[in-house]
Amino acid sequence: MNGTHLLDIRDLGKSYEARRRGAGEGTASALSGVSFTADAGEFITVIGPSGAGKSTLLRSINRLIEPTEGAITFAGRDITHLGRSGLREVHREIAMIFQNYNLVYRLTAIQNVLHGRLGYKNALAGSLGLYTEEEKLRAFELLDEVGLGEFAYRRADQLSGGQKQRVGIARSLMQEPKIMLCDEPIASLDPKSSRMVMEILRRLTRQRGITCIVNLHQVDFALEYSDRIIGLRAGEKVFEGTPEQATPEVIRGIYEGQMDEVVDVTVGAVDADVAGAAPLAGAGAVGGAQ
Amino acid sequence: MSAGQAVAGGAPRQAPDLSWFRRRQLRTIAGIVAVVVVFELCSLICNFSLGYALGSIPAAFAWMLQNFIPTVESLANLPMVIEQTVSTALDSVAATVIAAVCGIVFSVMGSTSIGVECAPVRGAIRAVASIFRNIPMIAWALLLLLSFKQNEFTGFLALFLTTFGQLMRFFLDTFDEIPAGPVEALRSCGASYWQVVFQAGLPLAVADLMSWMLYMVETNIRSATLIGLLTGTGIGFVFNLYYTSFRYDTAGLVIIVTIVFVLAIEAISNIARRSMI
Amino acid sequence: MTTASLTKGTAGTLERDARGRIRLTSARERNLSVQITLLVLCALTVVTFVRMGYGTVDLLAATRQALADFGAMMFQPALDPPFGAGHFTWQTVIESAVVTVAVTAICTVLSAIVSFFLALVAAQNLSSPVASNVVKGFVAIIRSIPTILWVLVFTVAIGLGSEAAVLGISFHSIAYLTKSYSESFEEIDEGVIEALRASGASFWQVVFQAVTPATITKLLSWTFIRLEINFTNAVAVGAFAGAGGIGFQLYQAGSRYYNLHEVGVIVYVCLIVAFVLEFVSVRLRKRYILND
Repeated sequence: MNGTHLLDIRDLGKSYEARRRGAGEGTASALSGVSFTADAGEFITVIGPSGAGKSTLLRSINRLIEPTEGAITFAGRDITHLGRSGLREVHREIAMIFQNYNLVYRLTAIQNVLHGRLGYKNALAGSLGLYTEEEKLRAFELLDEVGLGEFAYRRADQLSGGQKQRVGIARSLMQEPKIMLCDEPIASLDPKSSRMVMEILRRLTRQRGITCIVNLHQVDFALEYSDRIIGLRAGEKVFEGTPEQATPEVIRGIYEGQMDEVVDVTVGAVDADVAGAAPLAGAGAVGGAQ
Repeated sequence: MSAGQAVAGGAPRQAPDLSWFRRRQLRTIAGIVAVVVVFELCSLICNFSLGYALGSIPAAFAWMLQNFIPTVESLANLPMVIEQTVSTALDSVAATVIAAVCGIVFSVMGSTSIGVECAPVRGAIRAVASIFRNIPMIAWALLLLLSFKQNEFTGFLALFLTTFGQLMRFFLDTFDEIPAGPVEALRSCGASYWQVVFQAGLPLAVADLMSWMLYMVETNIRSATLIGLLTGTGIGFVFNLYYTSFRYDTAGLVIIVTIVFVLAIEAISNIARRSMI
Repeated sequence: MTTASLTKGTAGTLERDARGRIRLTSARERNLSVQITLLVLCALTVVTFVRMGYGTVDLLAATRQALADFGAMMFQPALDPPFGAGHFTWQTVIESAVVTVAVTAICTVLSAIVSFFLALVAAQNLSSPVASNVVKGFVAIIRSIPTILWVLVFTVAIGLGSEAAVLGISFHSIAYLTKSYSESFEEIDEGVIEALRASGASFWQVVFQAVTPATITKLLSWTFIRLEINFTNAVAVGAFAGAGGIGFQLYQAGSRYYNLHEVGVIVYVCLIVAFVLEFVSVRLRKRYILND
């Protein structure tokens, strides 16, 4: 075990028992034998076609999904088999950002940000939403930092997608995390909001030394922002390297057989929506390469 | 052998003929025939004559209009009728509120979204709710009459027990349907079970829960009428009293007051519902 | 706690309560309707308990007895001695259950058909505003009259029998289904109807080619929900309609013979029928929704 890394993933695997009748084999593997390490302040993106296990990988790291094989070492501590209370401590330090923002839409932005403190509070105070003045002020500062200070009292469902995601980031910062796991954070956003969110995430890694592990659908964003890229295909790690090492050939290998997603790379479109408008050019290029 | 081949060969050629529209048409016709058969069979079983039923509707309404128009004498009973209607309405509110208080904890724990982790416990909660809901109202009323005797409290208890079962179903459905995302987000923050319930589960469900409670108040006025017949309280009892002693004018008054009350309560709860969204 | 660390705009947004604590909801924008509604309901509950007649029984002793009775009903159901008294045979119980199911089915079929046409008139996107409002108002009045009153009225107006029960239950059922159906119709995409109308389709063509296919799953779903409610109602009014049925047997067992073991058997039969209806209704709903 290497104690010097912040996060050390060894041979992580997740297989589901096939319960449905007629499903064939006894188990279906969503993830197998994935290993990598992450250090403080690193920006790592995980790319791969839909169903490659990106989401499973991310949720296995903080054990929202229980991995069936392998070991996870976080801050020098083996967390693979931690019990409930130990896991709660770990969850505080590993924040998470979601594609669908996952805000409680009836509550105000500031209340949603304060949810990041729940892991630190006792059951009663947390349940009743009783926060200290320091915590509240901190929440305002964080909203300010993501540019939403004036929206603090807006109900979450009145915010735009990009604003919701920024509230989500503020919520995770409220946890004072060492790592942020971002599951397709910009998949539902327009190009401008996407860039804004990515900029905020990069700033966090540079200024606060928070490690970001980001699942991305948009390869061009991955190439632009990452320190390191991990490629997943069919639940297995098929690539790990710097953006410079991730040549178009490598990317094509990761997305083998996934026409639409290759389009993003070959055309170099700014975002997935735009890329959708030019499928012919991309398809032609791929056809030529093969 | 050759016949088999012909059939086998014919099938693919015929299949496109039996187009989607034809199949849809056939399915519709089969459905209608099935409904008619079931209807006729049921009519036989319970000795029901559609012709007689439909034919007697105009006469029944004519009879109602003739007899149910409140007379001047019956207006003397108006304060009493209103008082009984108010008490029936209050009983339904109280039964709903108490049932909601008792039901909410169980429905949180029994829900699939934010319920307890132990599946058998969730199953047991849902089973109990289902039994409470499906035990006939009359059975509750008769059971309680034996011990609590004829009074308003007995009616309230019977109403509470049936309401409990029904509200549990609505509440369980509501909690089952709350979005999983925010719940997962709070868990990933390290929130404990009850923190997730209070900070995500309840805020996400509260509008629907309130809406169901208001709906229950409305429907309970109707149930309370029936229970009142058995327990000798409320408008059900008053209606039956005057109705069976042929004083239809006052019985008509009861119906009119009931309509006004129910419509008013519906209007108020619609306003409340809209402002909650 | 100062707000010096905040930008000007954020500091201006931040509100404090009377004791100087930072607020989490804006005093101006917050919506208190949930709290107000809850408060009103709770206040009414307190009023109810204060003015309620509790009779002369010792509530504690009565509760104890009620629990014992409940035990007798649920855990010792029996028709025959020693617990039962032989007032009912299995045949009468089963037969009356079948009669109640038949009444339920008739009510549901009748009210589904009538409601379909009423709902066409009540739906704002298919009919004129005046007709829609008239039907909606009429239906609201019908719905506000309790089922049991309808049944009592019909038993006198047309005599005891299954017709009185069916009509009594159906009136309320029609009111309920018309409301649900018309709401389903109103959710149809306006464009679909417009396109058909533009192509010269008649009203009935629009209804059967666009409106019905687009809403059939919802209509069926509402109908099956109503089927369950109608069964509950059919049991409940059974004692008063003179149409026989399981509700009548239940009433006999409870209020004439005072035999809770027999009540228990009948309750279990009702439970089984209700579970079967619920199961069938859930299965059918799933099948229809999957098919379309």
